[in-house]
Amino acid sequence: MKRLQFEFQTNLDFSCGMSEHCFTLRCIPVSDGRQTIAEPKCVILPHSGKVWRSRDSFGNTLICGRMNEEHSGFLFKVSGEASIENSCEAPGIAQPFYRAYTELTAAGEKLLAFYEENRPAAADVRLRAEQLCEAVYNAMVYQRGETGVKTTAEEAFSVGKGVCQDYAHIFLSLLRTDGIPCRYASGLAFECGETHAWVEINDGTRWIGIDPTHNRYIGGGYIKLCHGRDYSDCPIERGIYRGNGDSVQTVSSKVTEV
Amino acid sequence: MNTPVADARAINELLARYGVKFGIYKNGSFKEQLFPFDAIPRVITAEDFADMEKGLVQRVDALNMFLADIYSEGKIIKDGIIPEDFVYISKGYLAPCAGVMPPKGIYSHISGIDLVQAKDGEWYILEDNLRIPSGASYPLIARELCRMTSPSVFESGKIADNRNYASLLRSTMDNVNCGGINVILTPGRYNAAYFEHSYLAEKTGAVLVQNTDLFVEDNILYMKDYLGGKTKVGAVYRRISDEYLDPLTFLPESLIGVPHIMDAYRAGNVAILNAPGNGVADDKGIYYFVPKMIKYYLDEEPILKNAPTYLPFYEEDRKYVLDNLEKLVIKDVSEAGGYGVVFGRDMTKEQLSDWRTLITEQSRRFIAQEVIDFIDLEVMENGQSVMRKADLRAFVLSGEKTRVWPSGLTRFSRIADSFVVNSSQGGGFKDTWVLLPE
Repeated sequence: MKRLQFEFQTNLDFSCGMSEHCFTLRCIPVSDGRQTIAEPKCVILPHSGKVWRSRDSFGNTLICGRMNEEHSGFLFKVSGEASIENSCEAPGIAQPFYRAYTELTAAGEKLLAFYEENRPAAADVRLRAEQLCEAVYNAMVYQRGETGVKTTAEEAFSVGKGVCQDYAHIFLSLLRTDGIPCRYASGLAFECGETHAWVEINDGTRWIGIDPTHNRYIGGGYIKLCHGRDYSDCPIERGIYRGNGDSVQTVSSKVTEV
Repeated sequence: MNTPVADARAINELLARYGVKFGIYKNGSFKEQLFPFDAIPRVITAEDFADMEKGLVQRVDALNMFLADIYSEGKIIKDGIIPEDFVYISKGYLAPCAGVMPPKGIYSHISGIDLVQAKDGEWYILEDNLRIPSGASYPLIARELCRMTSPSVFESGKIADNRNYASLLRSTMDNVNCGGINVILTPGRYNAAYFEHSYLAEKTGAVLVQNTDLFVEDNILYMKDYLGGKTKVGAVYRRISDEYLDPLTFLPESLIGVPHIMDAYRAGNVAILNAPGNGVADDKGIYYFVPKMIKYYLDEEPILKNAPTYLPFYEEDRKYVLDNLEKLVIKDVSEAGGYGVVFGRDMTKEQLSDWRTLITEQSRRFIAQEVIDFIDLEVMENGQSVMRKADLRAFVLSGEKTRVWPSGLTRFSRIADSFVVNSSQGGGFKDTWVLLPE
């Protein structure tokens, strides 16, 4: 078991004043049998406005809020302590929609062909997933700037380059083609200064975390913030506001062993 | 009875004056056009209506049970009645609604069921509309005007009064109201059915609002008032589609939605009519399974028939469709409003062969149906009586009990021999008279 101290902060800097800002944050990690989170602290600035909690149908805790007054910046900071089993497993069963393709994870011609080339021989769900994970890892090159948040698995695979989100979407697409229930997980990882994304597969009784970007099972260094069928189900920050300008986002995270 | 009630021109002029219009988007521009009224009513006998009513109540009850099942346990899939492929990848299935039980378990509060009557007198269901079926206001206002211009026709007491639609709708809203006022949420005056939104608000006493009039705090939906105060909203009859409903859950670019309305809904603090996620049940692919649903949930034989339908998804059906394409009608399951409907008999050899390839490659995307030779109704055109294809949209309201409005929207094609009657395709409408039992 690892005991980790985590701190995660996102800043939005607006080029002009924004008002009527409504947001939903999925930044509160939930205890799930693998990770145990001591009451995390969440600070949101500016203080004006109203903030409350909600819950989505995927089981994530949401921080919702509304700021009517004009503001030129926005930040939220979550910190706390997590005890994490040195394991990749958490108990749970998968709702059937986790088997179905989504817009971001539907396999097109190229991914279907790739799946055929790499169709796993093993019967065991975990072994099948391992093999598909390795195939993704070998086929892709980690590179920033080639893809964006709306890039689909098929598109990223065609480019052959991408970031953790793309690795996860491609892996999900192959798993769903194979009939394995799986979901997108978003969170913090030890040794990584930003947020990270990986995949959880379900074997009927457990969720098993696998990180296709590093071709390994997740371990004690991963703190999960939220999950969904794909990225679009569970962005860590989602907001709308009124104003005629741009916003620049900066994300930083720090995970240290206690 | 098949005589015009009144001078159609007078009624149409009144309709124009009241702003009874239908908006159409064509080639990227918005055009409002009048929805032409024909003065010869469609008449449905008391006996016919009684059967139809039973069949519609049965169908809508089963569809509501299906929705409650799909968004919770999914028993009908586990029991192998409906393949998973027709549910979870459907565009209308919304994972953000999974596990959310709407107030009183009702998903489809206002259902618009489209039927046609075949030449042998039998009624067939063409499609179910469980999202935002529009059109009830047209026969409602037409009747009101006809009563003014031809009061004597209605004095006989033989025709069911259809003016109870507003009170039915109101009690449907009240039944699920979670405490607070009723509102009708419209995207605004450029929506195709804006006339209807404002008319129904006036008739039901609900407040007509746009998204900027509403906000959510602590998972409670409020309406702003002019003094800076707020009033809790208990039920929203929303006339905007699911994907635009909440920009923080669905399409982020939606400018007509209410941020966090889904949080208020999930928390059980507001009823949304119809519930989000209903698209999974009125998908043209799911249509095929409705008779099976009725047997599964209610253990009853379906009273109203589906048009004979084939799913190319099943090998046996696919073979039949490919062999008989010339005589079938093909429908794209994800389209609505008469779009994505093609008739095999209108295709050239090349087109038939292209369609065969497409259907083979994308077997889940299409359904094929036998063309039902449905009856023509008499329509007055430039002072001449002509025969035109017509359908009927029946409105079924699920409140404390499920009830069928004794009227409906009869739409007819204004083009001879055309089977497409949708108002978005330029059709006209008639009043629908349901006769009272002798």
